[in-house]
Amino acid sequence: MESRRGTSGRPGRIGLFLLLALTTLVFFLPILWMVSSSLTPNQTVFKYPPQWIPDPVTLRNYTDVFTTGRTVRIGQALLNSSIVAIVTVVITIAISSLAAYPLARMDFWGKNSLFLLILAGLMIPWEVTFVSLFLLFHKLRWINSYQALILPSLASPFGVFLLRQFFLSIPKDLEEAARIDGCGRLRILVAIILPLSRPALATLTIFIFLMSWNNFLWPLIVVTEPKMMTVPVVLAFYAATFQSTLEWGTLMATAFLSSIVPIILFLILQKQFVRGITLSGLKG
Amino acid sequence: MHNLCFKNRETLSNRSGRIDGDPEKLALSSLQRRIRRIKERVAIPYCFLLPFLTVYFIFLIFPIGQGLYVSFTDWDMMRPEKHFVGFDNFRFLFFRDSQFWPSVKATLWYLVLNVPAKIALGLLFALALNQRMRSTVIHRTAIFIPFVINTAAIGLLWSWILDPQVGILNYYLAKLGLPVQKWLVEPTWTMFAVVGVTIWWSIAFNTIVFLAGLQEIPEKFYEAAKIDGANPWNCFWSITLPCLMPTTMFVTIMQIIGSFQAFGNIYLLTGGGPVNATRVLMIHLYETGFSYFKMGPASAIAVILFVLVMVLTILQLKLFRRRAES
Repeated sequence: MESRRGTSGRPGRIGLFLLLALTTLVFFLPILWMVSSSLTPNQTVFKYPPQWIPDPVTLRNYTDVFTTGRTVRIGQALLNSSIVAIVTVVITIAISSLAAYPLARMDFWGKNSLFLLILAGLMIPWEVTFVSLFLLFHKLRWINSYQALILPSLASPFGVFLLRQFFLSIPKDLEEAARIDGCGRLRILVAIILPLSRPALATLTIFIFLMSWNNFLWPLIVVTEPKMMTVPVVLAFYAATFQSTLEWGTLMATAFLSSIVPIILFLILQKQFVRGITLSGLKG
Repeated sequence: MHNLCFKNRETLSNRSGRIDGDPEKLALSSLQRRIRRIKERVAIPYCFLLPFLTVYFIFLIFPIGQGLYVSFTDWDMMRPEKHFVGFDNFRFLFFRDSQFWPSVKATLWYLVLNVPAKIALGLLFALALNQRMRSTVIHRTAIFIPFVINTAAIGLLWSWILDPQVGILNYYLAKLGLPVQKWLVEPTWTMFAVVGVTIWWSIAFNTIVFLAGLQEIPEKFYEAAKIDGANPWNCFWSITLPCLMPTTMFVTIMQIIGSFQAFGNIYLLTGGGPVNATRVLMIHLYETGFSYFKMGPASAIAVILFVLVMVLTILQLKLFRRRAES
């Protein structure tokens, strides 16, 4: 991609670089500080001037959050978050592809209104449903359960929308050939459309995974038992417990542990992630 | 889409018009055709849609309706029975709840500080990143990493950095000879700190959406302008900005919805304090409903939030449409 707006020569270029370099520092240093604090013993973490390279470097904070006889274990939380995120991704992708296919390819009764209803779902701040959902799960005695953590996030209008847009861009010829051969609609979706939609599916996967992994308010509401807590909820729990005892090293270790999976995923799948935002943005 | 459907319908009727022959066969085939038509146009598509629609209605549409109902009852989780109480919950919020109006004020203040700043900065970063340089990938990655971290960790990290006594921000401010602030203690400064952190955490979204918008603008517009002797500044005002209108509309709407939804980034940073300075509506809803289990008033807050977001979104759409027409 060529540069779009002609900058006014060399001084402009340098100014631009300075702006970006400064921005990069502002965005990156806090993360670095989180990592650095997490490797510093709780006793010396307050030292002035701030020590960017801990001396001594310690893994105590990490072993602490994994092992000590705490009621809330980060290991269990990492496991819970993984289970919830993976199940959410698999089911959401399955039901979103099924729903997106007729919206992209079939002509049926009520199609336009249904599509509008799904689009409206993109605009709804879904926190407004939390009171009712809590009452529903309370009635079902599903507070502190995987069902309660997973079920509400399966209704993803974003997934349906994104896949529909992508399906529309796939040429129809292949499909028509298969239909003439007597191939059913479901076979066409599974055997032809989905394999061609790999980029969109990758995008959706990382998006839904991150949304689920980072989800904070709903798990905070629906989980009260330590053994069902997800990673962000454990963070809130630790914050309430250790902020008063000023164990910032431990807190930063927990914060970093909660971030490491998303950061690695992002670094590997940057392209898909950026595309997800782009798709959601352009045609919204 | 309307056109497309219409065309399909036309071809369908053409096809049916082609069949002729003896009347008995025609009657049979018309029945068969009707069955097939129902199968094609109702049964099969709705079978595909069924799993999604089930969860969509149970976990999104129905709860919105039920929330509306609960907002007119005196449900408080402690008692099994609930009664219809009319507008009592709303009256309670408006006239007796001492924290409701402060939280409306905090939400609007957050919105006013957050949305324009994030749109302007998002555009600025997008323009900067659109100028390809060797280091672009590094800058983009740096802007993006905070965005993938959960809000609880963001809140925790920054309450450490902003700590008035031991935080590093004050240390470096003092070192640079700048005034030190009691960031999360002094009510006036807290909201600025919260918005600053929010920008740091989530500017990537706007940046990337604007970046995509910029790359959609045809290169020839700029070439034509250059031939006419326009400088970069003219180009920005008369090409880039107008072409980005739809993107800006989308970003603005998303930002407004997002501002009403803000919770984690504020809650772990301040808990809504000091003295309600950052107690936004979501925090008020959370505490009313899930700390005090007053489900009636909590649902009323949810209804108010919902209505506010819808009204603002529709107003925006109208405003932008009018501007696009003129």
